[in-house]
Amino acid sequence: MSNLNRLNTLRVRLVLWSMLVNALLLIAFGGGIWFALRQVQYRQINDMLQLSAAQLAASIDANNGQLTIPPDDVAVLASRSVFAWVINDIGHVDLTIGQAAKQPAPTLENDLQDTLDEQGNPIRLYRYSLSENSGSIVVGISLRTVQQTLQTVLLILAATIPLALLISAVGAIFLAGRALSPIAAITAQAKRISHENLSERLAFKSRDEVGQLALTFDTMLDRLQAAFEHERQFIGNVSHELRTPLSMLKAQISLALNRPRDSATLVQMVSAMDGDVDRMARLVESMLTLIRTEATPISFIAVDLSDLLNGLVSQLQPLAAERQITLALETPPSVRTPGDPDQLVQLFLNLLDNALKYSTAGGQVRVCLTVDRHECQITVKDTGVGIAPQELSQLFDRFYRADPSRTRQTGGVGLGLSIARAIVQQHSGRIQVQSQPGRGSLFTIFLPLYST
Amino acid sequence: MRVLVVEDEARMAALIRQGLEEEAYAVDVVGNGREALNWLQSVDYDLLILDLMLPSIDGLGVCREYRENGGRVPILMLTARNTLSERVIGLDSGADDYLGKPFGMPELLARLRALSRREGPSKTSVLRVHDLSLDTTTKRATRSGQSIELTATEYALLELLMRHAGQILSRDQIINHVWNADFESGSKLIEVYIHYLRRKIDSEHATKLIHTVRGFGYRINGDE
Repeated sequence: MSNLNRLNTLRVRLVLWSMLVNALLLIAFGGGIWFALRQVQYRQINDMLQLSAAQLAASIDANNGQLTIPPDDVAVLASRSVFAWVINDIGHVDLTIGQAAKQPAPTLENDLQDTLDEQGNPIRLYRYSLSENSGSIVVGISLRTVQQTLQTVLLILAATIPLALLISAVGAIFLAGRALSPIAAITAQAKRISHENLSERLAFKSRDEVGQLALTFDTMLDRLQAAFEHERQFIGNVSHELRTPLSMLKAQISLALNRPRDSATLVQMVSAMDGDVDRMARLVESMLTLIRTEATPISFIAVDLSDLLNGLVSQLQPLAAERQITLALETPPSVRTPGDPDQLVQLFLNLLDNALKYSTAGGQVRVCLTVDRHECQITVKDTGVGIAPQELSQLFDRFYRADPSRTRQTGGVGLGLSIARAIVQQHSGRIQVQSQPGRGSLFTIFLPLYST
Repeated sequence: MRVLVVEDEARMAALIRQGLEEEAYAVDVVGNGREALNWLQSVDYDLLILDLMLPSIDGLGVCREYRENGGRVPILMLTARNTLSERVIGLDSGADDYLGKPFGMPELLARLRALSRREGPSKTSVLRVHDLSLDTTTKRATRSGQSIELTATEYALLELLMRHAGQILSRDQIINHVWNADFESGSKLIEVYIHYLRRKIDSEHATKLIHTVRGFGYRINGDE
């Protein structure tokens, strides 16, 4: 974490976001409550003023215009802290109730109006017009209590919102820390894993998202390790395969130079070295073919497999004849597959080369092309030495040879079938092998059909 | 000096054999570990060259088994897997020296000379008896400052006698260390080569160095 900007960590951002959301929520909630309370309070006051005015008017009416108010009614009004002026039609104050006695009757612009009394206290006044132009009643009430209540609520909100925010921030920091601590653990563990200890895993046991992340990470490491191991083995094999002819060359050259030799001996020694150089050249060539096949995407064109196999088989006939092997091909005309003609030639050349190599005189190699609904199937069957069952699974591995001693006679470098498999995979096909030791082998290749 | 070469790659074995024979070693070649152990039991070798990767029993296995059975012949191990841990394992299993492939013939020969020096009483590459000296590096003999030309077999025979100066060596011992398994026993080859050596070394000098011990064999020394 040290090399991260402290203010830009996920933890800080999580906390800030949660605080912002909490603040907005608290302010909206508190504000809403305050406004609702205010609304309710003022409506009560209005109701009380209207009710009081109506009661006053009713008792004036009941007395037939007599300006006397029954003491009961006065007591009711006083209990509500309501005061009132009864004003006649020429604007003269006929009667006052409660505090109204201490000040003159106000002049109102609206029926409902807020103003200040003589002492500067806020009051609300309500004017109630009496019937038949016989004057009006103005009732008033002090707003001080309501305003104080509202102010107190506001103060409480102003004090509790920051406090709640603070508590929620502490909680958020704690929660973010808890949620993120496995990530820090994973980071620390992942930092320790390099190509030298690729076998280590995070092994983080948890069913949550972080556990998922760690599991994904571990499976990625599995794949990386397998790929690494594969490459390491390949490089090991390559260096071993190159070192064998190199050792031979070095031994031969140093032997040749170790003492004076006549030219006939030297010619003999150098031609032996030539064979080793050829072997190294073949090996390097095969490796490059394999790497190219695996690495480069191919541009597919319609390849006529029938033509391709016909050409190959007739090219190899002389070699087969020389080894007294019958080489036969069965194919319907113009079967087309999407592919790279050079790679496909290489594929079948490798298979036929193997079939011829491992067959003895009098043997047979049959190539058969058949077409299914979706794909075509090419079989290469020989009557050669065959492959032991336990070796079939490794047959397509790089540098694998069923019998190491055979190499020296056949000159193979152990990459032919790896190249074949790589080519088949590039063509979205499959390759299979069946074999019986002493009876022969059967290679089957499935390739997609070309559709226009 | 008789050497057993244990190497499964026939061409490599043939090259080593040629290189050693040209330096007057008697060489036998076998291709697997089991055979190597059999040969080591029946023949008294001076040196063993052992490839690490072998069929049947590998080089390390041969090394261990041979040493556990009390075998004392110096072992030079050859291998294509030339890593530090491999070398350590090789040396720990009883090999005396380790040579990685690819190697040059001169280095192989120099290491073999070093191994045989380690066994003998002399730490130099020059053997001396009286006024006769034999340089095992250049394969040249000199007596009283006079240089003597030797053929490969003559050299091998003289080297054997001088390494055991003062001791009587039997015909069998001589056959064992100078000729390889292809030698036909019963032939007069030893007498012939002793005769050649005497002509080159002793004929012009009053002090005779090569002695025939009747009924036993031959001996070289200068104090009689």
